[in-house]
Amino acid sequence: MSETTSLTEARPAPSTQHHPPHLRINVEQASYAYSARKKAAPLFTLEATTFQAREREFVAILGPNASGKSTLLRLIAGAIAPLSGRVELDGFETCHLDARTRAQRIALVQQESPLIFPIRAGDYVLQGRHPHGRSLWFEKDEDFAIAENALAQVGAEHLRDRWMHEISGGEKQRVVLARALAQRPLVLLLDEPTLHLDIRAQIDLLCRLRRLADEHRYTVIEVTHDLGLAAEFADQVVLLHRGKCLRVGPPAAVYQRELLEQVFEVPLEIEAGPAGRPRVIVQGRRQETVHPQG
Amino acid sequence: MTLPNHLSFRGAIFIKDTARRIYLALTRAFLVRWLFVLAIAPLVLSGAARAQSMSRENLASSPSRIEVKDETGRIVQIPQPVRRIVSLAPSVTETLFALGAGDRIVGDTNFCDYPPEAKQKTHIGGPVSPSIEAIAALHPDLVVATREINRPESVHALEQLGIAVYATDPQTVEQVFTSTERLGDLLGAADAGRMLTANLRRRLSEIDRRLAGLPAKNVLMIVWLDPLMSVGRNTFLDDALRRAGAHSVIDSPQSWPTIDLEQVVRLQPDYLIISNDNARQVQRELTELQERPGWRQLEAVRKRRFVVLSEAMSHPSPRLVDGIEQLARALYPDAFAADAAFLGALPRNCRDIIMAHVSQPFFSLLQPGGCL
Amino acid sequence: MKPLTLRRVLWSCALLAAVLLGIVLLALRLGAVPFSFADLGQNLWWLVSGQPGKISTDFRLIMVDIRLPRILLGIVVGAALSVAGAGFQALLRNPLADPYVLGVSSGAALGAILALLAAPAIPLMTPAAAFLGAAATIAGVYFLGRRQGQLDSGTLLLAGIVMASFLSAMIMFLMTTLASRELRGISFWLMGDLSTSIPRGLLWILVVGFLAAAGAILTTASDLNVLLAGEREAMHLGVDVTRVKLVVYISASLLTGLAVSVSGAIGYVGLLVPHVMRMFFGSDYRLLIPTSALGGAIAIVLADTLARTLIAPTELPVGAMTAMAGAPVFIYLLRRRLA
Repeated sequence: MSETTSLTEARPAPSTQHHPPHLRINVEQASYAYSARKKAAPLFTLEATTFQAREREFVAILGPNASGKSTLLRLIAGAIAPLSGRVELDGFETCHLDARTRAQRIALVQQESPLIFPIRAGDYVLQGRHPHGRSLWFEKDEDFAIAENALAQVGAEHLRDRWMHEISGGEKQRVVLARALAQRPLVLLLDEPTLHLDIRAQIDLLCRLRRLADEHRYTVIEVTHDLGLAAEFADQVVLLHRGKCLRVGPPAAVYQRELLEQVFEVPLEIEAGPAGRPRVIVQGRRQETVHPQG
Repeated sequence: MTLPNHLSFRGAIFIKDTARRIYLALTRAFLVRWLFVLAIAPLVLSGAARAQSMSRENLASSPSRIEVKDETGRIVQIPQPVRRIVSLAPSVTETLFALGAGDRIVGDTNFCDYPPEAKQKTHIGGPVSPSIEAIAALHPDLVVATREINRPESVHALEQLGIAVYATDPQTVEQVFTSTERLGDLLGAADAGRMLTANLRRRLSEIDRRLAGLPAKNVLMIVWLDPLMSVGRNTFLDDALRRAGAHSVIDSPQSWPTIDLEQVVRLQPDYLIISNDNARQVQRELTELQERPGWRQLEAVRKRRFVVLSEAMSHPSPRLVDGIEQLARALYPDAFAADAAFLGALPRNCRDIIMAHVSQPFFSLLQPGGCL
Repeated sequence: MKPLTLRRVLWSCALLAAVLLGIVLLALRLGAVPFSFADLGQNLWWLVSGQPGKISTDFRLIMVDIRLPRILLGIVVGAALSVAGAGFQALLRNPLADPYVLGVSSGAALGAILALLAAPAIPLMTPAAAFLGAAATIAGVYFLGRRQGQLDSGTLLLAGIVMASFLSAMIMFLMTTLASRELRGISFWLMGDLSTSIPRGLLWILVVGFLAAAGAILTTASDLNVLLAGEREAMHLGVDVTRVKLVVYISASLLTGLAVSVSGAIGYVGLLVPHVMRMFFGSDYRLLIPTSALGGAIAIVLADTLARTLIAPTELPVGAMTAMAGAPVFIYLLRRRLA
């Protein structure tokens, strides 16, 4: 079964190509600000951020709550336009594309909204083909094949005829991912996909994403606050803190103890792990080793 | 994979997208789906239109019509002679029978129960919701309605079918008489009409004579108990009360105002008047009324000064004069002393409740079922 | 999962259309004045084949002048209310939404009352004023229901409820202070009544208006499917959420306004017919819109026939029938947890 092998196979090293892979996402000095009302002082500002994502790359946008991760993700998705700077997909500004074109190229996986009417998982995944259809269209065989394929890629073919409200959280997350894959995008954006999953489901999901990136040439950008898993799976990490992008680079470069302790405000230990990936050790209580009070 | 440049222009995309959607909608599944409706509907409707224009022609070619203005100001073309009449209100039915045109009535409402022959006629529904079909199937020459009870929609529906509808709208006792006369003229019963109204007017002037100089008594006419409704100005009931020597304590521009008990207590009418033929129901209501808090504050309730009239009082028809007579005799027994011989025969506790009752043209102070 | 194809849509519609035709024939036959099926068949054949001369006068009068227009009106009203209900359920993302939740019927009722007061003699005044009232309410709720320039489901629902309550209060006020005889029929109108006769031209306007508005909603049907899974998700799946919401809002409100201005506020149809159709045909809006339209037509013609014949010759208002039938159906749906 594909599930069990994915847990035990070795995770591949960051991909190295002989020629530089194609630049997909280019975020250049993009900034944004929210305010409650127009012309009021901004409640939150995401300051100028720059990073790039290539084909077959797995990027993790890392940071504590309210650091601007979701805002950055929405900028990349083109849902909002940056106040300054540019966000480009293949050279075109994402916010200027119309929704349909964008949806054919970028898929966003979010915490799903509650479903109003019951729907089967198969139909749900089929909705991913919507950006490729026209008004008043009916799905063709090709669309059904793509949806089947997407379910297979996430290992959820057996869920096809089940109702969405009857399956477990992990299974639902896979179906949502399948829908995103059915869009046949170039870029997969995920907003905290591992939030409500147990550890096994988390690893399972990230392995699949990793494999999708490597074998099927997706660009995967994930927003997370899980330090350990980001270190294990990401090629590139964008570290955000209170709206500022502090560092961009491979995990080994970003995971510096002082930096992470400053950002996450907890005591940590960083070790070097296999394949050059850092390992984070969380300390339970702060031990007063410097100034013991007795 | 690269994106062609022109796709970045959002406006063009929006217009193209919408135009394409409309085009697809019109030319593809949408039109196929509704094709059968579009194909059949004109066929049926045009056939119907042709049929309808024919039925109108038939109607127009019938013998002579006179043009009159009815009491609501509408111009109506009434075929002469009028052989088949449908009545849309009980008061109209009564009036038609009183004019001697009762045998020409081919249909009336479910509620038409006076005179008893009215109950034998074909019923066409209620005054508020008559069946247009049933009326049309009777092929009436004339339909008579009243503004008081009937809906404009029913009148419009009948007009559309080419049926003549004459609406009455008497708002005073005198107007009831003139309305009766005009109806008589329309139906070719002008003499009967004039005789009837002359008789009615004579009876009324007799009452006026007997009541001359006597001060009016304050009354509250209870039209409905829950919610408490009485009569306002400009209704035939208010005028009828006046002619019977009663003065309604309620002075409202609304026709059937809802009033609250406080107001009534403040105004302290001398008598409470109810118009209802069902003796048992009235007994029950009055007993219940006396139990209700607040009502006991009324002198009229404490002293049991109720007057129960027959339903003659509720209809703007010739029978209204019966009602006025009943009320006058009840309120001023001394002025009509010569006819009040029965009063002494009643048991003591009945004296205060005067039941001037039931469907006989001569009223009786005895009422069936005993006293409260 | 059964794939939805054009063929399946057409077959479902054909099935419902056949049922509708059966109900229409039944409705033509029944009424205060009886006809037999043989009579009916023969006269209908003469009518359709273009030989109006042979039709008996009685038949022409009852069938063609009275019953047929009423049935056609019932079809349009039923279809309009059901499609509007389905549209609002998607727009407001609420299975309990019905066409009146945004106050359109109260606005129309107020218009109708004002017309009855001002000019009871003019037959067309009431529908025209009712439609104007409905249009004003649609605009008002639209402007109240916006949030940051866009229609927001939650705000829209609240705005609609507030508007509906306010207008209902005004109607109550008018009805009690005026209590004049012109208002006698308003209770019929408020319950929903198909007995008002409509001039032929107006019926055509209704049909065209219905086809245009329902057609507009149909073009957004696949977008609505996606929209129901979540607004943000829909946006990321390429749906132009702003445009779709606006189209559905205006079209569904127009359908409601058209229906209510000629027949009053017939209840339960817009709420329940889409749910029943979902039970039989699924939640896909590409199929739900046409089947709701046909299902609504069937429901109203059936209810109207009952209203005309139950205690003939007195006519009950259609709304009373739909309420009496609708409440048990609603309870049944709740128990099956589909609403």
